[in-house]
Amino acid sequence: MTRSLDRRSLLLLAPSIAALGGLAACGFSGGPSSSPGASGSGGAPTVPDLVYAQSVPISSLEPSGKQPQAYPAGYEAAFAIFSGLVRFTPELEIEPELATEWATSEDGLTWTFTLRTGVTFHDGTTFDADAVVPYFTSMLDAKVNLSALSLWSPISKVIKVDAQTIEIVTEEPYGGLLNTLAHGSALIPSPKSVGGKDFALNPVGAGPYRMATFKPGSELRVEAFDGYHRGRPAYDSITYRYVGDPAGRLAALRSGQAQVVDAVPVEQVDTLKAAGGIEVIEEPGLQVFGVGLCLTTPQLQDKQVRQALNHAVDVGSIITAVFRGHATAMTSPLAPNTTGFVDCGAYDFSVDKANQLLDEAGWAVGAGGVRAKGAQRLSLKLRTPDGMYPNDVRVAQVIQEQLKAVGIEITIDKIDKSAFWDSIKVPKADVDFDMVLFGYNPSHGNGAIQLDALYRTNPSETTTIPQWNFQWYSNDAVDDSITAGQHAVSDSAKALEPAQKAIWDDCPYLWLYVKNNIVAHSTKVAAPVVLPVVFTLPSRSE
Amino acid sequence: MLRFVLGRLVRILVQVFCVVTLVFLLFRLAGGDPVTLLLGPDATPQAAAQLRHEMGLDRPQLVQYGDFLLHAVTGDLGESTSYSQPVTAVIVQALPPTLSLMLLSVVSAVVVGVAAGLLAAFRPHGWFARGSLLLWVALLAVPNFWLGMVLVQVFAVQLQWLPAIGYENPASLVLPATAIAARLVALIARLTRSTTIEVLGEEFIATARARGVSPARLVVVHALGPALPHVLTMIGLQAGYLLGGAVVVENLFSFPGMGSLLLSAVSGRDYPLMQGITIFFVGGFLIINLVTDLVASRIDPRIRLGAGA
Repeated sequence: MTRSLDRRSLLLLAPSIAALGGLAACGFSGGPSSSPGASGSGGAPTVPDLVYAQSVPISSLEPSGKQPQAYPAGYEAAFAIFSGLVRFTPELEIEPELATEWATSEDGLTWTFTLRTGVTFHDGTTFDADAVVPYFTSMLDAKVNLSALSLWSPISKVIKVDAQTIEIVTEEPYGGLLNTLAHGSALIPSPKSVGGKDFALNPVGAGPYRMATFKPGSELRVEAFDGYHRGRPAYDSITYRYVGDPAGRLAALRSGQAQVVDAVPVEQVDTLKAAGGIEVIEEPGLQVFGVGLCLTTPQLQDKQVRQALNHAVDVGSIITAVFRGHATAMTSPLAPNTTGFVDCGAYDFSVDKANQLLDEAGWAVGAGGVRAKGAQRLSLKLRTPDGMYPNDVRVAQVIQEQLKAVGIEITIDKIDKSAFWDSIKVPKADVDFDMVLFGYNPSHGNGAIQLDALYRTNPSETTTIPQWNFQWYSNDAVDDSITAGQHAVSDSAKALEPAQKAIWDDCPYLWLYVKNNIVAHSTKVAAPVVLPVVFTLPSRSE
Repeated sequence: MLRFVLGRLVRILVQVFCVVTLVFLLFRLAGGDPVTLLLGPDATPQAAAQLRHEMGLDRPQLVQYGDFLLHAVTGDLGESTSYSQPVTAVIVQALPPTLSLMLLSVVSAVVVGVAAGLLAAFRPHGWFARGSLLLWVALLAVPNFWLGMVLVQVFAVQLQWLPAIGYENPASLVLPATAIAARLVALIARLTRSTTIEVLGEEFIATARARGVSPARLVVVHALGPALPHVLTMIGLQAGYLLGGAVVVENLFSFPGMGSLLLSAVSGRDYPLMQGITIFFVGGFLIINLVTDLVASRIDPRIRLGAGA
């Protein structure tokens, strides 16, 4: 009896083992085998097939509409596959790409672009005005351009002058036009591929690499495009692989499975620098972080109180303790690399000054060390996302501690990162927070657009905020200066100076820091271009 | 027998329906808007409203629920909002990696666990039995993600023998499968050891021994049979651990399977995808249990199926 049972159990195991073998045979990716340690053989200085481990997955690729998802991973790959008329340099200047030169009319309303000749898309289609004009025109349509319409809405029309010349006409002078054209939403697909059903999965551009294989959410592989107008790119192929876990990214880099990784945690920078064969690139980014102070909260309507908060928090100690020095204190509502930046000084850390300002404003220390004025207590709710920004909750906790020292009581309200945006984009009556830890990354690099998104008076109190002025800040002079900055075709810093100085003085934020972008790469490959706009571009190692 | 299986299948359907309903409600109660997450920080409210309308999210929740059920009955789980592909297509891509990982974990856990358990039972007071007992307790106490991290440090970063991430070749399976299987090995080995020792104490073993059957043959032939159904039942019970472990371990190893997919669906508030994955996870769990019950009863006729089972 026992023997037959034995045989039966073996029979049961057999199909599962067979199935395992079958799955293994058909399930693996056909990509290049990147067995650890095999790279860089033959003494070649570079690895022909580069693997870039990204912190965010690419789920779909389409330069218009709601794609490419997700940010910034999708754009990083899109910049390899597509080219635009112009592109950002690592210093965030604008340089020619598919347009060779451009000029602005006297009134600043018409921009003329000369297109590069002899450029073809990956599918062989010739690049000319007919590839640009219909596509850019469609980007002005709210039904097509879902994610970046605010960058395109100042444009009224796009005109073909001849095969190599186009004109872009704006309603008002538009200082941010070149930034918009260097943005991911202005990457130009082959006209033949647009509108195809699988366009999001099989994009065709004129960039240095062409699409090879794409497994949404896990891996995208692109191959060198021999016909790229700047010549054949550096690598035979680049694989963008999603590795969400920071420890996993670093393990992949150190084991040789990946050559470039992004979003290196600040805690790991020193270890990586000490490890052999690895270089760390660290550049100040554009993403600014602060705690929005809501003007809907009675206690925060007094400017003295808001300024006191700025004196009470030691930003330097947050940078040292939480970010180990890998961030820079803000000196303006904009990050220094953003177009139009003007230095506005600093709020020095001084508990005495903060106490003095609060005393002057009539807030006396009351029961339990918490300041009060009449029946009102200086007790505020600080909303923070959990896991959306590096060390977000820890930063909120440090601020809570430091404000306690000047008699301000903070309750921390943690929100899941996926629900965070939704929780602060509400009509005025639904505001249920006093302070919000928030970070804004201008993917366009343009200060006027950023100030417009964060500080322009909201159009209506009864509807959801259109952009990010969740603290309901409003200053007419600031609005005017932002408008002037948006119209300034040259020297937007001059036009934006009054806005930045007024906002800095009004303190609708407790100003914190500008985050550094930290990328690491193997010394077997050239350093990738890291744009301050949080993009790591191994496709452009220069 | 057939009636039993049909009855269990109907119950599985009802259970899946209940869990999916719960998931539908809970995910929506959790807050967060897929549209805001899809469109990014520069989108206008008009664009968000338009996309919300296109995705049918502006309809009353009850209508959305009814619509989802109607389509689900026909096998249409809707379109994933973050991948712009049918949910079934997205899931089908993620299934092979997870299935091969699960199978390898279970098969290797059974082989190693049963062998170790038998060895320990063979000489219950020998050095192997004593040492392995300690090891099993250690394996049970260690969380799988921690074990995974240690394995990566040793075998991928230091020794560079095995890949640290991804799913490229059979070698990619080794570390994640080890991280998942460790706990199962310990459980199976302990179970095999105790049931085998029990069986070895029974009278028919004494009879067999008296007839001159060799000790090795006694353990392998006479004791393994009674132990197997227990092992199978336990694998069924551990199916939840396997699926949960997949979420943690797959994320750790950037393994493109169902576990990673579930995480990305949750963080992107991809409702259709979350619902689809739930159906697969819950359905998978229940079916694994049904199958192990059937197999166990097949091996050991004393286990009765049917009324009240």
